[in-house]
Amino acid sequence: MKQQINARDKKKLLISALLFAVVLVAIGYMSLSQSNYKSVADLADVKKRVKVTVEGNVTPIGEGVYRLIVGGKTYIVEAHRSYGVAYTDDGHTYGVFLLSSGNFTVLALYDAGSNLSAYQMGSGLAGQVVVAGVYDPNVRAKLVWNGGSVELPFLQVDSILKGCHSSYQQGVASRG
Amino acid sequence: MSKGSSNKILSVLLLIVVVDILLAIIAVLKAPFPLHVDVGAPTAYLSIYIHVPLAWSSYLLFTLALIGGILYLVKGDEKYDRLTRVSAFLGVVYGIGTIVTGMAWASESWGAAWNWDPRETGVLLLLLAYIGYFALRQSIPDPERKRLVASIYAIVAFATVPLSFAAAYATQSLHPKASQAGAFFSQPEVLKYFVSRVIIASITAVLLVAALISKRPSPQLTRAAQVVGALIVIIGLSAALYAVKPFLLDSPARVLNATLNSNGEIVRLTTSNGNYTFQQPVKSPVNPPLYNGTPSVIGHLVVVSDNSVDLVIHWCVALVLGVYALIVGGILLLYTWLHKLLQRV
Repeated sequence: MKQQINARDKKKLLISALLFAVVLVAIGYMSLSQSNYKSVADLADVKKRVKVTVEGNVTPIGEGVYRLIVGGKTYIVEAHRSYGVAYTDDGHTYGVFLLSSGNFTVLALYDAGSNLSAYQMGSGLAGQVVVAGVYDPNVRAKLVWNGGSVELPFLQVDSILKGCHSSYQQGVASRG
Repeated sequence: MSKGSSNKILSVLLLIVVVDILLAIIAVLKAPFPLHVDVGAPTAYLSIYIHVPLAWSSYLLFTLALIGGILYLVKGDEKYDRLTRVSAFLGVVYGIGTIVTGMAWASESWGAAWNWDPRETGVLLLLLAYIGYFALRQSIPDPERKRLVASIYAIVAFATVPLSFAAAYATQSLHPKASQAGAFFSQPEVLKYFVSRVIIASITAVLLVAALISKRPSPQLTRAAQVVGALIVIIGLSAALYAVKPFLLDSPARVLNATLNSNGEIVRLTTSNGNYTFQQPVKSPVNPPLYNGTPSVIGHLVVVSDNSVDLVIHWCVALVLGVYALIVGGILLLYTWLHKLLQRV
């Protein structure tokens, strides 16, 4: 036999549904506020090759010409303060930058000819950025210059994910 | 709702939709964009005049679905259940549009189309929750029980709306917070286009709900809705095609560097397609020509000829416009079918 639900029961159901929705929002908000992008410093604890999305600060790489050696491959790097342009013998171009958090710094390298425009190689790289790529703790990057060298953990970047926050604070333009 | 008021609602809707799409086209072609951006072409930000109103309209539609759910449980009238299912359906359509337009824009301005950004993911979960609403309805044969359970579900599913909105505030999101974007939106030129787009898009969304929950209007008006829908699609897609024309006919180049003379005219240009030196300085296609002493044309996509540098709107904006025209025009074009379908589910 079909059971009818009276108005009082419907009100109870409404209150329960509203309460349930409020609880869902509260739990969801709490869980969201605890979740952030991993810091690049967390890579210090990574033991095997993994795909990662991390955030960090772009650290000046200096100016001048360096030699970069990664996994037996050599690049010539022209450094322009916050980023460098790396060339290989076959004429391929890469973007290079240093990504830091606390005392941990990785050398990040990305293929400028594939998914990233030349524009992003330059002025786009500043301050805090989020990058996605592959981190292998067994691969190190060696930057060599006249009279010195430094070895750093290495991050192969697939994409640079950058928020658009600062873009809204630069004034407006129109077609000239 | 009487047939007379159904006719009135649809007539007003047809008028508003035409204004809506024309305003969207004008915004794409005329509205201002940020003077300098970190990544990609600044013109990609013209998407803001369509993507954001679309997203806010979807939130509005889901709010109407919540109100319908509450009212059904309080009053028990079937018309409120109809309000919930029509609003939820349109909310899902607008939500899919929001995701597609956001991905196109993000591919240029964030560096990748999909980023698992908290709000991006939140909207995806929201959509899944509301698609579940229709799956749930289909699984219950008893009409009264279906309306009751679906109303409760619509109230609970609404939790995903504030969550997806708050995601940009609770976490470090690629989406800007209102305080970060405020400087741009408070510019009178931006405000004019943005506010009018938000208002008109919201009115369109609400009127679409009203037209789909009301009784079927006269056959003449129904046919008029289909004609206007087809026109909206044609006009919107034509405008999108016009905006994307340089990508089809020319080869737009990214400006990497520029040298300006004291009048702000371009003397030399370095682009991804090569270097150009102009015998006669040419007018900068961006106004103002300088940003903190740097030529503001840097980062833009342009088409260079002997005596001009023409600004190219990024293709994502054309896609965003096309998607919006397809959504609004498509709903009108399929009005009769949707009206019938949403009576049944």
